[in-house]
Amino acid sequence: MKKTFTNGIIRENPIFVIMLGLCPTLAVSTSLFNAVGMAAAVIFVLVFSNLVISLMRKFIPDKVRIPCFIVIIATFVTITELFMHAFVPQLFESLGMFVSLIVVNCIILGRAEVFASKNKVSLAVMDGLGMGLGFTLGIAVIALIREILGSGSIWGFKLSLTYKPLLIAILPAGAFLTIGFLIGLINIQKARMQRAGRK
Amino acid sequence: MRLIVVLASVCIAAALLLGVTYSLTSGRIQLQEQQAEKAAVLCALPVAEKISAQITDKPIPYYEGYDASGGVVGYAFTGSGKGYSSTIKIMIGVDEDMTIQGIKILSQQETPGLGDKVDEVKSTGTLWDLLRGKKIPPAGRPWFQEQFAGKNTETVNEITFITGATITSKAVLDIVKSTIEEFRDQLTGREPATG
Repeated sequence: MKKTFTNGIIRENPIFVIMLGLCPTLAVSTSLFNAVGMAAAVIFVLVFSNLVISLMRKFIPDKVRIPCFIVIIATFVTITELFMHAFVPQLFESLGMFVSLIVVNCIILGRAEVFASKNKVSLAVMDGLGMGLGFTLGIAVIALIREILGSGSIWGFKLSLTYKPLLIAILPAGAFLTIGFLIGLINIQKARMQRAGRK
Repeated sequence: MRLIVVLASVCIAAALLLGVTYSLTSGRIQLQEQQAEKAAVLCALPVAEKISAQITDKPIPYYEGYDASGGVVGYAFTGSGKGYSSTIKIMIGVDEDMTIQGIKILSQQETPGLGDKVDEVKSTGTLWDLLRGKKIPPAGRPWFQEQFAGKNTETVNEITFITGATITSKAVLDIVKSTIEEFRDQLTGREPATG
């Protein structure tokens, strides 16, 4: 059970290892605040859709499983969207349509299909939490780097009053560069560990 | 047969759940939006003590602002137009002589770091100040929008543009100018004796 949980955070990190859900990651990681808001929405949807899908895994016939999953996921996304609009309008405005786009986030459908529909409820919830936190970790690291370089601030607070921001970091190109470098670093580290393991 | 029953019941359950959530949140969302709108009007028309509901019987819907004794001190209305990469929507406040009292950008999706500086607030402190527990003075209004206050359609050309975002700056200027002119025509059309 613990293994299922940590699996999503490190060994199968959705962003850096499985590379799912990159679209919202690239688009929303312009500031830490947006990234954390997005991640919270994803965790909520992922945990509850995993929970419900795992509960219903014996009832849902194989042939209609995808439409059923999509309906369940879309329901939780819309609930998230309505609550976000009502209680955190500031976040709702800056995330815009990316909240609704969680419906087609491959992490969520991917976990429903690969994990939740084949495992016990407790494991499915753990998997949702782990994958959600893994996503949070990924998007937060990218957003932190982009916000520091591109706006010279962390969580909206300036680091220095005179720093001239490196514009490209908060433009879309900066998202690709940041994520590319991070994945590169992770792969170097992995190769090193494998070599050490062989010796 | 089982396929249909399962899929249909999943959909019905989802619809019920959504209906409940919607009825729980819709009141608050509406309230939220009204408050945001009122805040925007007061921001564009700081002299007003009270504002009317939106008046919609003319091509440009507008709000009237009243002073403490109930006299009209100004009007607020929205204008929008094409910026560099998005439609910019602005709430504009003017007094009776069409002198700008304030503007507030309601929505824009201009280039981050360049055009979106129309919403930039000058920082008054850093993260280090915050961590050291130093008091940070409250942030003011976006400097670009502040420049419009006190200008009329002639003198508004004097404002300072944002470096690297000439098209966005000019778009804001043009939207403000043309919307005020349209609004003036609408107003004088209704009350020819004024002014």
